[in-house]
Amino acid sequence: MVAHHKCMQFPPDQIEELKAAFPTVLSAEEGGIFYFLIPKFPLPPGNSPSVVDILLCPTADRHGYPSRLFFAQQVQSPKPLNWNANGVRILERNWYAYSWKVAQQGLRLIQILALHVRALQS
Amino acid sequence: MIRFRLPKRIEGEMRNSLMRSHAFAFERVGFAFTRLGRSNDRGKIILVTGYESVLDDDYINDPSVGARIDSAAIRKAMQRALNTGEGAFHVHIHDHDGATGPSYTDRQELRPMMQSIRNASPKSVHGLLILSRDAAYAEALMPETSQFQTVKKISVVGFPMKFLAVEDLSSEGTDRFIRQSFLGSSAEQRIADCDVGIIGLGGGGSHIAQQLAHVGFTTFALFDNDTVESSNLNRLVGGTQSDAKKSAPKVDVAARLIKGVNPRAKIDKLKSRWQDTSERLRACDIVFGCVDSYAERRDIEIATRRYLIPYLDIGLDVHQCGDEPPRMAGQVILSMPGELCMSCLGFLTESKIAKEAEQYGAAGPRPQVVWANGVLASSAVGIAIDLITDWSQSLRGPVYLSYDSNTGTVEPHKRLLYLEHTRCPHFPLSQIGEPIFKKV
Repeated sequence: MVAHHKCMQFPPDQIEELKAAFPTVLSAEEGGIFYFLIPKFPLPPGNSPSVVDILLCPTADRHGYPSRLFFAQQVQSPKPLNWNANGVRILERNWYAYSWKVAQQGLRLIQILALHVRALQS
Repeated sequence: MIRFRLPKRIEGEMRNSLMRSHAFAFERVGFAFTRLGRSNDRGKIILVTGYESVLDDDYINDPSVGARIDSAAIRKAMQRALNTGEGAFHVHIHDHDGATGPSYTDRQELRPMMQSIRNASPKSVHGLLILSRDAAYAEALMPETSQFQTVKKISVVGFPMKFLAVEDLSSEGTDRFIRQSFLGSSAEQRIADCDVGIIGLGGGGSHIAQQLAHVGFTTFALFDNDTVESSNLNRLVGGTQSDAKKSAPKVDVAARLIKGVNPRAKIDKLKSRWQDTSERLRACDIVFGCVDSYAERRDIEIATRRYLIPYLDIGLDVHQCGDEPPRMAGQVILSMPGELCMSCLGFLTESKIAKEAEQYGAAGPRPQVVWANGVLASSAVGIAIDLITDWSQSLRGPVYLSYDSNTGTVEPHKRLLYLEHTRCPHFPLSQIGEPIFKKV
């Protein structure tokens, strides 16, 4: 059941798809921007830590990216990434993100997430 | 310390509703709904999200008390608390001037009522709020306690700010402030009671710290993780060559300035990013931001609005186009919770922030000069004093000043003439306090 404010800007089937993959997914809104929190998200092999809380901002974030994926801590990845958001305060928690542009137009929520995570694959 | 913050729009709604006559009740009552926030060692912050008056039909005709409400009214308040996770405060007004407090009947009847609401919603804060014409009293039943605790500070957040109940801080009792007595008889106390935060103690923030100390602020939270370099000395008020040589923290320089003016000032020096010490930020009654980037401004605005804290932003930029002389311009904006935000005012836009992310450019490496910083800082301090004392009785709406250093003028920004919104759609009061995550 999908019944939350700006969550509705995403088609229900896309949200159900995200929920099916990550049953613990939560949503929240701040400053007119909508976020999905996925606790204990499993990262691709070769990354450290292996699980981490992530925050998906599927639309233009407040720092100038068309969509963005934030991590609860910096991740040691197989290939170096440009972590240019370090301790950004969102929803009363500090978040970290690498510079990685994924335009959301035409993509499903789960695809936006997957394209961000792709940066962590070796 | 328990603080209680009430948006001015809701306070107005409360007073208008409570002052209506009723067919038989002598007074009216209602319920304020609240969220609870934590600050650092300064305790808890109760934030009012809404108000609901008791319906006419929910009063019981009982001439022995000012107002008696029936179980339907109590159940409605309890239901909202249960549905939303908010706390509930019983609200009524004592129609007189000056300090107020609970009557014998209030203590005997209202406390048990709020205890029962607390039993239904034990994780929230509940209590009593009693207004007088110009003051207020509140007591809170915190989730982890069994006794009502008196709220030390009740502030109304809006144009202007009002402090309805505060800790009794003794004034200096000297003639130190005699030359600013036009600010009003209570101005010295109001200013001294105000806990002020400054983010960024460089060219702008150092001016602000110094001026706030002179004008009588006594409690400061200074946020900056940077140290003094020789390139700061063109504008850092109070900065010395010795500071640059030993890379002194900028908060130390500002604290030294403040202590030089008022040795009794209480200063929290936070040599870290404000994001890492945000619990201290929440305790502030007003915050000044003197940061470089649009993105950080937005982050501060979000953090301060979440805790109903007025935010005063200053900024300066220098641009150069072709062979034209450089243009130096800046802004002072007051972002008032519950009112228009910096996006509504047209100052923060997605395109500006996106260009900044791409390091699209201003002229040179963050040009800053002492005189322009001083103009902006002085303007911001002036707005803060007006906000707290209401001395000019003219601060009643959005503040967005535009500074043109080339012409030496500060004036209301032209964007104020073409505002798209009258109410901010970005920061609803339902989102204040701790974030709410929902299952999807």
